[in-house]
Amino acid sequence: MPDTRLGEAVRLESSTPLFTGPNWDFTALRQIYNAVERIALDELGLDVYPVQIEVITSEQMLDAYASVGLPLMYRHWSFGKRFAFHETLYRRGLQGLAYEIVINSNPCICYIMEENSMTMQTLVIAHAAFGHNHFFKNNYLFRQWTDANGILDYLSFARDYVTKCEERHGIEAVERVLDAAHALKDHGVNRYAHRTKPNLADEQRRAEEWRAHSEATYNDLWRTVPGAGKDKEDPDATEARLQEIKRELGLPEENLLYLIEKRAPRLEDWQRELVRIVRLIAQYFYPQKQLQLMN
Amino acid sequence: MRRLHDKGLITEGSMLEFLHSHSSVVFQPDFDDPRFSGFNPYALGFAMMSDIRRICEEPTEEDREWFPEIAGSGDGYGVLRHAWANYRDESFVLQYLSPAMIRRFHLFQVSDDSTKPALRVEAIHDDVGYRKIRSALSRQYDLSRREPDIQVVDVDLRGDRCLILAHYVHNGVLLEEKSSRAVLRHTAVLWGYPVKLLEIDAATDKTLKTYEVAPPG
Repeated sequence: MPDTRLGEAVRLESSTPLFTGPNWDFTALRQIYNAVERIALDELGLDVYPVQIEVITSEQMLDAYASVGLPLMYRHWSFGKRFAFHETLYRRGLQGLAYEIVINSNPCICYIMEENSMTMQTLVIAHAAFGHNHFFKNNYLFRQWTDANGILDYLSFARDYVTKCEERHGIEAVERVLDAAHALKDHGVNRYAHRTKPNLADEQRRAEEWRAHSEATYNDLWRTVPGAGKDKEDPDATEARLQEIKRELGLPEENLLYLIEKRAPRLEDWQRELVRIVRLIAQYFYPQKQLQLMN
Repeated sequence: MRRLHDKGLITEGSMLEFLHSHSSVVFQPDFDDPRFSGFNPYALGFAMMSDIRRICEEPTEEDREWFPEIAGSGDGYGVLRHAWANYRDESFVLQYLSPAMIRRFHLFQVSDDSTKPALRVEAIHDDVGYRKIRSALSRQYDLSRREPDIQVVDVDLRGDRCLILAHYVHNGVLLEEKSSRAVLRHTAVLWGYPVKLLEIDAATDKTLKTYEVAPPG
């Protein structure tokens, strides 16, 4: 849009305000965005992901609340419950809605509410599209634990996967696994250093390979349990074998969902994959909890 | 917003609207205010970051003593960018909470020991107190102290395949019973066999409480 840029350059020189009054339009948003960008990059030295600004309605904001602030999410009743909760509060005027939601993704998605005044749009662009964005891109916890490039594709994979499971195994069976995994999601994160940076784009491919591998090793693990009826020979050998299995289990393990996903004896493959989805999304949120003051 | 205003790109009215919104977001009720319910992260975060800029640009003698590496450096945003990249809440408070901030927020530390009949004020805004207060506040942001320390410690491979969890209890704080049972039931659904949780005192290794839940039918 060369015409808007030209208009803006003229205004900057004459230093007249870019907007007056409360109403916003896309031209003003663009001009303000450019002005804020210049301050953020040139004066403050911020380093940000490309920004994608989306204007949403209050209804869509409630949707975003329901899916814990993510732009897309798999289906589960608890998200609907959260939607109903916030909607009731909002309709009764007991709770205002956030002016914006910003996603730790590349490009950095920034939702702004259509009912905001132009001043508030300016504020949220500065605050979220540049402030939070810089923080997401640069803070070591986000760099270490989250994959901003892969999160959106992964969420879309997760949603499709859950839908397919519902079709194949029934809504209730899926719900049962998700309910249980959600209950454990605070205990489904790794708290200490990571071998490699998470790469959610590889997740799908790896999920297949890993399944084949774990099937191969998993049967082995439970051969000594009663009923197998062939471990009576040598108590010492059995004991040694038990110790070896315990080593294989990697105990003690603080990540409950990880252990369940890898080692729970009775889960089927699709159930393990659901546990993994909940676990990876919990891990994605783990840094946020440690950065409420700073971010 | 202030820079936009300085440049004449937003109106006075717009600036006032922003300030109104900003001051309600960073509002912090005092400790004796009925509205007080802990620290507003926006208030404390914003104040600390403004304070870091102040230390870099207009340091006092006290700041020079406490923050020799940044006081008077003149590069407030450089220090902030460094902090944003390399700290989390807990380490940020521990590193950068200044005596000036402690006075401004009226911070003090009270200890509540269940074996003693009275509360005791452990630290106030004096030379000894600043460090104590700073590390006490920093600990409140340490997630490993806010979330229970629960681990899978064993699996009964010989018997009923029971999954054994341990909760390491600090300061005698046990888990709430009803929700613990509910969460263990969920765990048993996934595990497929019984799940046992031992609450173990981290200091003495004594088992304080045991839960055992069987998987549903």
